[in-house]
Amino acid sequence: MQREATWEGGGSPFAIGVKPLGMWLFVVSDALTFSALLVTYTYCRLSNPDWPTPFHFSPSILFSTAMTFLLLSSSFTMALGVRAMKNGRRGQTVRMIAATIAMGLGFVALHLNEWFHLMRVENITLTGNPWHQPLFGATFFGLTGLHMAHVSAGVIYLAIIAAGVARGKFRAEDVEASGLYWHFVDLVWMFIFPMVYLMSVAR
Amino acid sequence: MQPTVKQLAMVWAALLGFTLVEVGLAFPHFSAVLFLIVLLVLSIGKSALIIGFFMHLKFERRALALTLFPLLIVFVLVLLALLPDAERLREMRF
Repeated sequence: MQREATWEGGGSPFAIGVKPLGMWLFVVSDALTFSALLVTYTYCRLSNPDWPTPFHFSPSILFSTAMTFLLLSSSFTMALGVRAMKNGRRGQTVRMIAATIAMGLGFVALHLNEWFHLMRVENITLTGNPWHQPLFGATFFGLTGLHMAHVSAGVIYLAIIAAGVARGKFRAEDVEASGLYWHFVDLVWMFIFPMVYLMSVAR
Repeated sequence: MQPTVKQLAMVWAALLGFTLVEVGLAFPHFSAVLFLIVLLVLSIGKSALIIGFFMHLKFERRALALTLFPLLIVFVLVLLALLPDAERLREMRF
């Protein structure tokens, strides 16, 4: 009689905590969403020769480059925070997460400033713009808005984690999971910045 | 096993450097498709550094990456297969 094949790979085939594993699965599923939005934007951009190019060096490219530097630096401090927590240094972990939160808030402030500049000076809204290309506003604000929502949610998430770590709650894998989320937010911007801003520089 | 502070600092510096290269390339005039390809290559390189070191996937078991990424890669490739159609649409329209 043939035996039914069963998996005997043990209880922890990835040797990773259940919370970081859950965050990895979330991150990959969220990456599918952003991939679809980015390809949609790029498809519209490439198929239309009259696609708006509203991003002047100052302030748009200057600000978006500064925003990129802020997110990359915040990922660096977050990685240092995760490392400190794994080594049992809670005080340093809180300081590193606080620095990450500060840079995340800086990113949101600069991004909102950039949005208001586009709306007030360049007259770009969700449905209209001087180039008569309504898809630009829809795809631009949809994509960058969803990303900004992720950054804002990440700031709140990190604040909760930092407050808990300061009070002696949470373990290293909790901080690690929040770090994975934050790095993912950074990772998505590494595609939005070149695909959206640098591809549509005003000449 | 986890990345050292020196490794993390080097990755951070490399990411800032790649970003400056991208910004520098944005102002000379290239064709949109060529510029898109160059930017995609740079972005994929930056992503690999972030995933490998900041998200420390390089230090995890290979089984994790093999479980998570094939799906994502196939999905993105299928999406990218649509982009040549954007060029065709541009020529049909104008």
